[in-house]
Amino acid sequence: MDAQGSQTNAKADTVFLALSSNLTTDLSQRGTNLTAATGGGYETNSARASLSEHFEVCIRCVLTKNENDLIFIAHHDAALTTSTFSLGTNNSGEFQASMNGAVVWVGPSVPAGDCSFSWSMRPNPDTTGARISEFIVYDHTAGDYLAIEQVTHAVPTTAGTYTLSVGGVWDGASLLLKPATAPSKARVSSSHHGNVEFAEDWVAARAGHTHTLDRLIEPIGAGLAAGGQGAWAGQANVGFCAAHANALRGRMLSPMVNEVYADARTLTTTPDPTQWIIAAPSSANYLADCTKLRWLSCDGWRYAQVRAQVQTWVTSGSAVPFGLRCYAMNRPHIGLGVQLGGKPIPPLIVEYGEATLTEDHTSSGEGEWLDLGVIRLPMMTEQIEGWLGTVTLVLAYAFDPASASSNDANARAKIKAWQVLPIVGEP
Amino acid sequence: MTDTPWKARDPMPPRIAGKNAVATQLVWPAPLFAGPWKEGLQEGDKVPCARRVLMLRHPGGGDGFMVHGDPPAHPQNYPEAGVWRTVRQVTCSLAPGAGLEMRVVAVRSGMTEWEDPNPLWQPWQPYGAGGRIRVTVGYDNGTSTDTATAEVDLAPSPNDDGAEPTAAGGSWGYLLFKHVPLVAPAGVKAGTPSELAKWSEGTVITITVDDQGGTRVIQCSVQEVPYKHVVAHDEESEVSIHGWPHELQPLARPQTEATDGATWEEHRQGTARGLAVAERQGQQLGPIVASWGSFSETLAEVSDTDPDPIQVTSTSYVGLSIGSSITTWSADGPGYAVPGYYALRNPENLPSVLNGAGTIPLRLRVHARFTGPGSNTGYLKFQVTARSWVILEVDQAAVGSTWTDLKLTGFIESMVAPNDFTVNLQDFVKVSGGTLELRYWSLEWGDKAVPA
Repeated sequence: MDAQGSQTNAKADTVFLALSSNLTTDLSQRGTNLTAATGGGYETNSARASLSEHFEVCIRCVLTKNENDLIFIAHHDAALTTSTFSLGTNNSGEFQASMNGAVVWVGPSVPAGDCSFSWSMRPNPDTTGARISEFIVYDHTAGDYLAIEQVTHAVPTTAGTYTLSVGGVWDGASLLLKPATAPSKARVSSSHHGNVEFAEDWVAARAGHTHTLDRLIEPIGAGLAAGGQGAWAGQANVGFCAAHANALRGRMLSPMVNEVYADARTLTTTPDPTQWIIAAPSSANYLADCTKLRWLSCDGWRYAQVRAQVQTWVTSGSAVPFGLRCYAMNRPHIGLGVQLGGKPIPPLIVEYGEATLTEDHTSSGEGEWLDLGVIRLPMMTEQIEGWLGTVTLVLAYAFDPASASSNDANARAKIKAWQVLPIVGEP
Repeated sequence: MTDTPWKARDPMPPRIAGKNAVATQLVWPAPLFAGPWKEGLQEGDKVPCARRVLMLRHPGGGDGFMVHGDPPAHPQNYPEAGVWRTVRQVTCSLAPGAGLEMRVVAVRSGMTEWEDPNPLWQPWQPYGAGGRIRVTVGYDNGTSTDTATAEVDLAPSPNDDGAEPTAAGGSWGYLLFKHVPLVAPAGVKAGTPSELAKWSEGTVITITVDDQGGTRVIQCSVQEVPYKHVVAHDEESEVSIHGWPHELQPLARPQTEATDGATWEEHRQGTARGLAVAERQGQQLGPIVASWGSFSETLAEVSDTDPDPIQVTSTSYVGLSIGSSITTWSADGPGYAVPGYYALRNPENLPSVLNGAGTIPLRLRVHARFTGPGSNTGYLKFQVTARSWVILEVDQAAVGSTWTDLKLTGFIESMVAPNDFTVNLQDFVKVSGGTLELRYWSLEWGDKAVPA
C-alpha cells in the first residue's frame, strides 16, 4: 500500500500527490485527502493549491485521439469563471492551459495514448510581477515529447477559497468536463520544476555518471536570513563561510574552448592549406594546424578535460585509423624566435592528450566524440608580459599514426567541434 | 572631498583556490573553531576569480582566410583600408571585481585596397598590407552605461601582395601574439572609487569585435581577470564578495559586523557579510556556457561591414551553428559543452530533487530579425539531451526587420562532471513563415534579472 510522504515523487514541495489511479488519497507529506466524486476528487477552500509565485502541476491520463473539452486538474473559483491553474484540452482537441479565466498556452493535438501534461511556473526575472511557465507534454505510449515550451504571462490571481479539482472540475454537485478515462497520477507542488526534473520523476531517471574526477557538492545555502540583521552569526559561521567558498571554488570555471566548426574542411594525408600545417612537438606523425591554436590564461587551474568531435571515412577500402591530440604548452613550440618579451625564450614544456579511432562514418555521417582525457596545463611561469600565466593549446591530427593501414590515401576526416574544460583538483 | 565611504577589495585575489588548505581545516558547525578567521572569510573572494573566457572569435573550420594572397584586382578584391567591419558580438555578465584582458593570435596581415573617386583606369587600387583589430566593450548596470575600447595593430606580411607564406608550415613563422592587459572604462583605469563601484556588481557587458584591413585572425578573446571590487560601505546585501580590506583590520573578532562609521553604516566585514556573500555566490554566480556568431572566414566578403547573417526559411528545425544538415539532436554530433558541473545550484539540484542528473538556469541572448514585416514566428531551440531544451521565440510582428536583442531564461540539463558526455548542446532553428536572420547568440549560467 502506498504510504503518505514515502513516495519517490512526494517531495518537500509537494502539496498534493495522487498515484495508482487513486485521485483522492493524498500521498504527499500533507496527507490531506480529497473528497471523492465520480471520476476523481475535489477539495473546497484549498489553500494549499493557492500558489501564485511558483508551482508545478502535473497530470497523467490515458486519452483518445483529439479528446476535447476536458479539465484534468484545476484550482478554480466556485463560479467556474477563473482559476489559478487549469490543465485540460480545448474544443479542437489540443492540450490547453488557462489561468485568470484566460488561455495561457495551447499545445499539440491530443494523441491516442497515455500522456503526462505538466505546467511549471516561476517568476520572470526580466519583468517585475510577471511569470514564466514551462509546459511539457510527454506521450508515454509513443515514448515522445510532444512539447517542451515556455511562455511568459501575468501573475495568477488566486484565493484560498478556490477548489482543487482532479479528474474534472467540481461545480458543487459533480465533476464536469471529465476525461473518458480518469487520470492515473496527479501532483501539485509549490516550487518550479524544470524539464530535467519532469523527466527524472515521470519518464525515466538517467543512467548514473561514474564520477572519476573531483566533485564539488554545493552546500545547502547559507541563507540571507542567517546572515541578516538580528540573526545570530558567530565564529562557527566563519568555518561555514570558508567551507562554502571551498565548495563553490570551481563555480565560475568556464570552458577555455567550446567551439563548433560547421564549415569544417576535409582533411586528407596531403596537408592543406600547406602553410598552416606543421609537425607537432616531438612527433613524426601528428600535424598541428595553426588555426587550431588558442592562447589563454589558465592561472588558477592546472588540468582540463578535452574532447573533440570528428567524422572519419574512406573513399574506398577499409577504415583507416585517425589520431587526434590536444597539446598544451607553456608557449607555442615554434614560430616565436629566440626571444620572447626581450628575454630568452623559456624551455618548452609539452603535455598532450590523445585518442584514436578507426571508423568509416561515411562522407555524410555525423561522426563521434573523441575523449582526449584530462591533460595537465603547463602554464608559462616566466615573468614575460602577456605570457605569464598562459597556456597554448593546439589540436594536431594524424592519419594512420601507427602505420597500421595501407589505405591511407583514401582516408578522410573532419574536426567539427573542440572542447577544453577546466577542472578543479587533480584527475 | 567626497562624503561617500567606499569599501574596496584591491587587489582581488589573483586566482581561484585549488584544494584550499584553510577551507579544509574548517568544518561547520564547529563551535570550538579557533582557526584563521580572517582567511576563512576571505576564501569567498576567490570564487569569482575564475578568469572566464567571455568571448573567443576564431576563423571556423574552413580552408582559407577571407584575405588571401592573390594580386589585387578590380572589382574590389581586398577590404577597403580604414573601414571597420564588425565580426562578432557577445553579451554576458561581468564577474564581480573582474577586469578584462584581450588576446589576439593572428597571421601577419594581408593586402588592403582603396577606391579612387576619380580613376584614370580602375577605381579599386592596392593600398598596402596591414590590419587592425578592435574590441569595444559596452558596460550597463541598469542605471549607467560606459564604454571601453582596445585596439591592436596586426603587422603586415612582407610577401608580395601581403600573401601568406607558401612553404609548409610557413604561417607558423608569421604568427602574431598580442595582449592588452586591461580593457576597462577610463574611470576604472583611473581607479576612481565611484567608477569602480558602478561596475563591481550586476554589470552586463556587450563585447563587439571589429576588424580593419587585411586581418587574418586565429583568435581574438576577451577573458576576465581579477581586478578591483568596490561598493559603498552601507551596501548591505547586493555584494558577491566579502571584500576584506588589507588595511583597517578590525581588532575585535569574530564579529557579525563592525561598528558603524560616523556618517555611514559599516557592513564591510564580519560573518554577516560572509554568509550573505556565500548565499549570493551560490544563487547568482556561474559559468559562461557558449556563444556563437555567424561570421566565417570562408563566407565573409571583402565589402562586408557586418557578418552575413544565417537566413532561415525552413518550417522544420534545422541546425544553426552546427550546420543545417543536422535536423535532430544527437549526443554524437557536433555541439557545445554545458559546463554546469561545479554550479549545480540548490534547491534545483538537491539530492531529494534530482539524484544523479543536473540542471542549471540558463540566460539566452539572441540577435535576430526578420527580413521584413509580417506575423510569423521564429523558433530558436537549444537542446542538450533528448529530454531537455529551451525555445526562444522571435515574433515577427514585434521585431520586423530591425536587428533586435532578445533574451530569455530557462532551465536545461547540465553535465554533472567534466567528462559527462551525455549532454551535448545543439542549436536548431525554424520559422512558421518568412525569412529569419540570425547573427549572434550567447548563453550563460543564471537567471538573475539583467538590464534591459
